[in-house]
Amino acid sequence: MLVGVDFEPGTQGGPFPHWLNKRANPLPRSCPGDGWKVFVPHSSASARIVKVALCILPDTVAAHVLEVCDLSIQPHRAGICRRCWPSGPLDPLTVTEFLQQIVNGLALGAIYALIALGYTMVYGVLRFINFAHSDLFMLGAYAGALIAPRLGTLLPLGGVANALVTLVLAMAICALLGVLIEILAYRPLRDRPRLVVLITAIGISMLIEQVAQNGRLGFGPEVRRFPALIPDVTWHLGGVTLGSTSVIVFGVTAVLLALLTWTVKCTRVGMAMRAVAFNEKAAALMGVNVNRIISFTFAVGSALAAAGGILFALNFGKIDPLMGVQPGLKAFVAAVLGGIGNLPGACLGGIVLGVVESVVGGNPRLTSYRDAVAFAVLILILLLKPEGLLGHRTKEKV
Amino acid sequence: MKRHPQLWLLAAIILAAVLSASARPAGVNPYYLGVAVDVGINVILAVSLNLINGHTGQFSLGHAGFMAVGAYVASSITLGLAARFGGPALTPLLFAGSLLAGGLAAALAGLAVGVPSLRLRGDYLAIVTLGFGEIIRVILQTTDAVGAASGLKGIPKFTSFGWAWALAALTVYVVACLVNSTYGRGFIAVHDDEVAARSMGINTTRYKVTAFVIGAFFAGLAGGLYAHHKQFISPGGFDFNKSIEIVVMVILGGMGRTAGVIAAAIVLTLLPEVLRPVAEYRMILYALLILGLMLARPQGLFTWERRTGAKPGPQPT
Amino acid sequence: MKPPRLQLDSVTIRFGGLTAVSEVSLIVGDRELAGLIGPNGAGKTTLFNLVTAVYQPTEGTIRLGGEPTDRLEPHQLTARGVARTFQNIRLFPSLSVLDNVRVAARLHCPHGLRQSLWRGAAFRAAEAAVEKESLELLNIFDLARYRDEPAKSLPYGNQRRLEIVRALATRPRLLLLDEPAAGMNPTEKVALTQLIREIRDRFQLAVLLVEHDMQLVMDLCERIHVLDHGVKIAEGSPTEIRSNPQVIEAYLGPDHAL
Repeated sequence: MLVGVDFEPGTQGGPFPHWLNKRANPLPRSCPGDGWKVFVPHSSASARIVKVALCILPDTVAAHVLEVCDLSIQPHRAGICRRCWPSGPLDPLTVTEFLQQIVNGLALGAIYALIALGYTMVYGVLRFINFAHSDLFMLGAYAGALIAPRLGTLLPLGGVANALVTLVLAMAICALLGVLIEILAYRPLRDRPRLVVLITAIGISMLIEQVAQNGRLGFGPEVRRFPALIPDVTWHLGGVTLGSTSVIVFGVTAVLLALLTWTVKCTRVGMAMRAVAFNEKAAALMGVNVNRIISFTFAVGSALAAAGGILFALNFGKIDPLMGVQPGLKAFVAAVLGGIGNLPGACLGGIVLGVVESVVGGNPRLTSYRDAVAFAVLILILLLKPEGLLGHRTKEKV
Repeated sequence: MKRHPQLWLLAAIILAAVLSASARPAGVNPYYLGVAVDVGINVILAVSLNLINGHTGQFSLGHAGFMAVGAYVASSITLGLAARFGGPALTPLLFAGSLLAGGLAAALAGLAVGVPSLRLRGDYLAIVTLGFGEIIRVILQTTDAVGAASGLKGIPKFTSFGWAWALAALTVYVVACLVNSTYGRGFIAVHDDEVAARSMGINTTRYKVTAFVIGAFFAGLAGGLYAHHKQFISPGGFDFNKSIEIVVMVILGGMGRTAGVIAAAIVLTLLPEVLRPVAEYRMILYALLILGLMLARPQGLFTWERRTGAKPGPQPT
Repeated sequence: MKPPRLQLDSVTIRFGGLTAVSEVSLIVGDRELAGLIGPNGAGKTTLFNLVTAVYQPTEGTIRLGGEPTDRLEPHQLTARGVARTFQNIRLFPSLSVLDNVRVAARLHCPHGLRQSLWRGAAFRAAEAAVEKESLELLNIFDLARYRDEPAKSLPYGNQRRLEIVRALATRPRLLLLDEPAAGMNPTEKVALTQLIREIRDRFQLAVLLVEHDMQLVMDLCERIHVLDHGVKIAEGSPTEIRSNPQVIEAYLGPDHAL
């Protein structure tokens, strides 16, 4: 048996190991242990097709898969019954498979980069890790999921325009939430030790996750379908498949990055941001309204996280209250990898992480190690370059 | 007392053993005993992490990883040997042996994590330790020999109140004795100012690695206790959130203050239990309480304890 | 002939394109009170960092009692009898005054981890000896009464003095003092001069100090080395340095040269 499964049979499928696309044709594989046959769908990483595969699973089989792979731990992870995968030497990826993984990795990396930017910007001005950031990512996706269906009836716009309005609205909502969190939780602690702020951030993150998981106060713990905001189209370039979601991910990320770069480099508020990041006190003395700049930084970071959340949900077709945890952790890793506090570094770190993860995960025998490999790469790079890829070395003055 | 702290340790261990032996016959609710074991385990975890994060000033976010190593090694040994050893007379011996093996394996992992700490500091170190923790978890999750993602089941219930509290006392003793000696003040010197510490002849490299190894050893012990308490372990139980939970205990206790950290470990273990009646709002309240504590007592819950003789005084003008 | 306590042979250090110290040679004899002066940015502190192995020289060798010190870590150098204070006071803020000194005494304390846990008779004897020695040192500087205060709560002048005590606890044979009189008033400075002379005599050590207060340097030092822009421009007794035109030029600019 070889299957991508959600933790509940019949619900939306999870991100599918991309290499499955390549092993093409409906491929009956039998599991020696239980004798069930599961059809692995043909082509396209699209989650909607995975759902078809899942729907033909009787409950008992799904339970067995759950047993073997314990997917309950990471609901939005695709699982493979490793016992059933023929053991043997590693299958090297073919050139097309490799290229496919690069494309997939770039899409994933772009999302990581969007989230990582928020981490790195907040770190730049306040020097602490904003743990609540990954929850804004989640809230962004939920905002999208709640807005999109209503929008269709309200505004007689086309699909793409609707998707854009959804994106912008979700970003605005999260920007507002980010600023609110900063003002209510972090601002009163501005002069306290960094660790206090860190724990507060962890507390905020816990609070958001718990409220979101609560059925009465929030969204409830169940996995939900994310509406398909754009028509699902796939193009084939040589052997490489390119889905419309990937194209949207690239496009939106590129536009947002360009906007951010322009804001930081060419506007007064961007200059003030850089000044605050460099030296808060000096910036204040030069007449910069530090509080306003910090709020602005949170707004921008949170808006980017929301965009990342929507793109992520679009890519994988489903959302849940804890969907931010893993991507958030990865994005944080990406930010440190690139040199924390450094904007281009965060983008580079995100892309590197996404590509490495995809290429490693693309190998069927290594796919369950993909998370470990991401961290191993991080450790290796930091040991060779302790200040991160693009970070500056600060030698302590004696 | 100052001259012979060993006697206090001995007394604490005997007391724990006696209380533990008499608790069940006396009809104490097993639920309370279970919570008491949790408290003991969390005290070990928090106090050992305090050596790394509090006293030595390294920022480790991978304590759950060390705990996992200890838990898996210890339970694999008991599961492998329990059938052959059989006799109840040998059980404590078997348990002690497997706990020790778990602790040593975790210490080895601590050595592996301690070495990068020589080149990295602050947030970079935090992220690397976090990475190590996650790598350990993923490896366990993909190793069939230890049940992969479904974990190990049917671990014999060896951990009692006595074991947990005796080992907690040992942990507190070791950490407190270390930092209250001429040798161990080096840990605090590394925390305060590495450059000055080096120029005072302190081998900072060695101290940092030692802190990681000792901290990891006790986290490994705690892992072994945990496995033989819950009787079931899976990689998911040792994730990033578990590490964060321990870090929160250390920070709430006031980094580097042993008594405060013990108190915080106790409070934070009991809090979710006390909140059980409000069921679905339990974790929300827990989060709100942590936030409230941080706003009200940011210096830690228990700040009256003096840290190695120093008391707060006026700042130089 | 006995090799000198400290000997620098054309020591150079470059940071990227910047040559902070260039071809500096100097000798500090046993029990000598030597001064190192020069305008701001002359490379004095860099030279200290070189001697204490915080930096490794790009070229040249540094010898301690005739032994080259390259490839040694700062803590190994301390074990070889070099101790220092810092320009911007670096005490251990969370430790008490006494504990600050006891950290430095670790170097001569025989026990390690195992004994600290076992706490046998030998351990207790060693701890008592460390405490006694530390208190004696604190007494010399009249700091023993603050023994349990946190180091950071002391007034500035006492913090500087505590740094010297802490350095002495490593039992150095060469003491490097980086601006020991900074922030002190004239009375305190006179006392400090006396004190430095006393500890030299009492502990039989060589002292090399960086100081901007010329009065103190001229009063105290037997030999003075002058740095300017990383280059050594003069060396001699206080009288010689006082009348050296190059030194005057370096300090006051060419217009004031005689």
